[in-house]
Amino acid sequence: MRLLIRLRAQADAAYDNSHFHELRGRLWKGLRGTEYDELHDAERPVGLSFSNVFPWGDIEEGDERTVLVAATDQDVLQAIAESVITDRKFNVGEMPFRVEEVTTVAPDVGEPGTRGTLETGTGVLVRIPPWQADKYGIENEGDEATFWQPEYSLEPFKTQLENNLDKKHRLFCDDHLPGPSERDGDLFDEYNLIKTFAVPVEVTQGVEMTYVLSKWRFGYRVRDDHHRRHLNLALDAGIGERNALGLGFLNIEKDSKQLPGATSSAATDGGQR
Amino acid sequence: MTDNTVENRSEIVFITDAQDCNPNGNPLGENRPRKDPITDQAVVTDVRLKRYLRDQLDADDHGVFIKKTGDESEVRARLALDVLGDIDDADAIEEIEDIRDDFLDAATDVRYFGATLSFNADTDDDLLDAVAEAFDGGNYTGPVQFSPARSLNAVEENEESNTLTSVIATQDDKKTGGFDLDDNRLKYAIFPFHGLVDENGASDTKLTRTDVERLDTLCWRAMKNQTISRSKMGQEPRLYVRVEYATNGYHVGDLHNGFDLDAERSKPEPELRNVTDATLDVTKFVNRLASVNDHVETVHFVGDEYLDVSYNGEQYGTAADLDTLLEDHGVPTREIEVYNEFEQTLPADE
Repeated sequence: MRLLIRLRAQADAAYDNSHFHELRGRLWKGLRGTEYDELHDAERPVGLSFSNVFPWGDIEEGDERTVLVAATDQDVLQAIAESVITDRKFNVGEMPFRVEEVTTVAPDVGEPGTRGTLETGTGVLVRIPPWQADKYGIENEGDEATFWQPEYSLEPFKTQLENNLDKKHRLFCDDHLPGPSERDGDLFDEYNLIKTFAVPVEVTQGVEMTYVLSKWRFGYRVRDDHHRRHLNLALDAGIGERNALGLGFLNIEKDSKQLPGATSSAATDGGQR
Repeated sequence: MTDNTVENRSEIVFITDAQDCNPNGNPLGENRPRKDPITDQAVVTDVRLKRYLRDQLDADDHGVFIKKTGDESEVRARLALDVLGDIDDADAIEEIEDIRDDFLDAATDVRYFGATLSFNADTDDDLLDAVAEAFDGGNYTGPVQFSPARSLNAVEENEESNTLTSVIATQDDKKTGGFDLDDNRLKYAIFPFHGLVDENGASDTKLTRTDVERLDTLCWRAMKNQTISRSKMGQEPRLYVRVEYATNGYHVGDLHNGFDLDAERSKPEPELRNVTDATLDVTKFVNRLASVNDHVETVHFVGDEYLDVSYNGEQYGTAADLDTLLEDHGVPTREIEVYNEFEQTLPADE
C-alpha cells in the first residue's frame, strides 16, 4: 500500500536534483516520536520506500507535484499521513510545497496470468559482498562490497536482488509462506537496464558516499499467488538496498497490465505517472 | 452466451479468513467490524460477499446492474437504454418481451442474485405499463442465495487508537479527500459462507449452467482480487465446495454447519493470529455427504494448502486434500483448477 501525497508549489523554484535526502528528512519527521522512530537507524530493511518529487522539472508557484510513499505496514503509512496532514508545510530543500491532498492507493501486479512491466522510480542499489566477488569473476581485494555494474553481468544483480527480497519476505510476510528463492522461476521475465549512474548519497547526517545505482524496466508474468505476493512486496518495500533512503522505489508502468484473457489492458493503479 | 439450462441444484460452502483487517465494517457503528456482542463471533453479511462477486464480474467485463456507488446511475441508465432500443409501441409485445431477455443477458449479477427494478405506478403510458408487465413487475428473486457468515471463532480486535478521520475533520480549508486507512481490524477470523443455487428459480432470471460453473472460479478470484487494498487486505479464500446434486429438488441444507474449528489442534481462540493457528474439523461435513452420496453428482472443490483439516479426531492433511478424503467415503469430486478454468467463462469466450 502507498500514500499519494499531492503537493502545491508555494514559490518558483529550480528542480533540485540533490533534494532526495531533504525529502527523506521530511518523511521521516513523521515517524519521529512514534514507535517507528527506530526504523530510521535500523540495520535491516524497514519496509518503506518512496518516490522522487514528480514530475521532474523546474517549478512555478501553484504547480502541482506528487510524492508516493510505499510501506509494508499500514501503521507506518498512517503515522506519516498524520504528520503531513497536521503540518502541511512540505519543504524539500529549496522547493517549498504545501500538502493539498493525501490518499491511499494499493497497486497490485494482478492475479496469476497477468502480464505487466514494473519500472524503477528511483535508482536501485545492489552491492556484491566481497566473499561473493570470486564467484562472479569480480576483482575485489578489499573488505568493501562492490556496487553492481553492467560489466559484472546480470546474474549477480538477479541473485542479490532476490536475496534481498527474501530478507524482506522473512521480515514482513507470514512465516509459513515461501519466499522468492524457495519458488521456481525468476522474479521477473525481463530485465531491461535503462542506465547506471553514480550519485552522492547522504547516508547519515554529515556522511556522504557515492553510490552506483541503476534504473530498470522489469517485465513480469504472474505465475501464481506466491509470485503475486513477492512482486507486490517489492512494490511496497522497494527493491535492492537502502530503501529507507528512497532507493529502489517501484511502479507498475502505466497501461502495461494485461489481464489474463482480457481484451483490453488495465491502467496502472497507484503508479507514478 | 451459451443457452444452457441449469438442471441440478447446488449447495455451496465457501470458507474464507481475515487476518489483521476489517472484513465487514458497520457504517452505523463507526465502521467497526460487525460482531455478535454475545458470542464475539465476527459477521460478514451476504451483501458484502455479493459486492465482491459483483466487483469481480465487473472487472471481468461482464455487465453488472448493481455497481458501486458513483457508477450506479450511469450504468443502470446505459443498461436500460441498451435493451430498450427503438421500441416505441406497446403493441410490439414480442419485442418488449425480448428486451426483458436482453436485459437479463446483459445484467449478469441479476441472473445470479436477482434485483428489484423500479417502475412508475399509474403512468398512463401504455408502453411503460407493457414493459413493467413484461418484467413481471420488476422483482427478480435470485436463484443464487448466500447467507451471512458468522466466524467459527470468537474474535479479538486490535487495540483502540485514533483514526485519521478525526485528524482530517479538524483541519483547515484545504481538501484532504479520499483518505481511508481503517484502524478497526480483527486479529483473525475464519468464516464459512453458505450458498444455494436453486435450479427452479434459474429460469426466472435465465441463469445458465455456464453461470453456475463460473461461480467455481469467481468466488475464489473475487476474494483474491477484490480484497487487495486498504482495510480489506488480509482476506483469503481457504476452501470452496459446490456440491452438485443429482436428485431433483434435493439438497442437504446448512452444509456449512459441518465445519468446526478443531479445538485440540487449533490454538485457543484469543491466540489465533493466522491460518496456521487453526485446524478445520471436517468430520460432520464428510459424514453428511457420505451418508447421502447417492444424491451427489459431484463435489466441485478447491482448497488451500495452508489450512489444516482433521477428520474423526485425527489430523488428515490440508484443505487441498479434501478430495481424497471425500473419495475415500464414496463421494465423487472434481478439483477446480481456478486459473486454468476461469478464462473459459470470461465474456469474450461465451
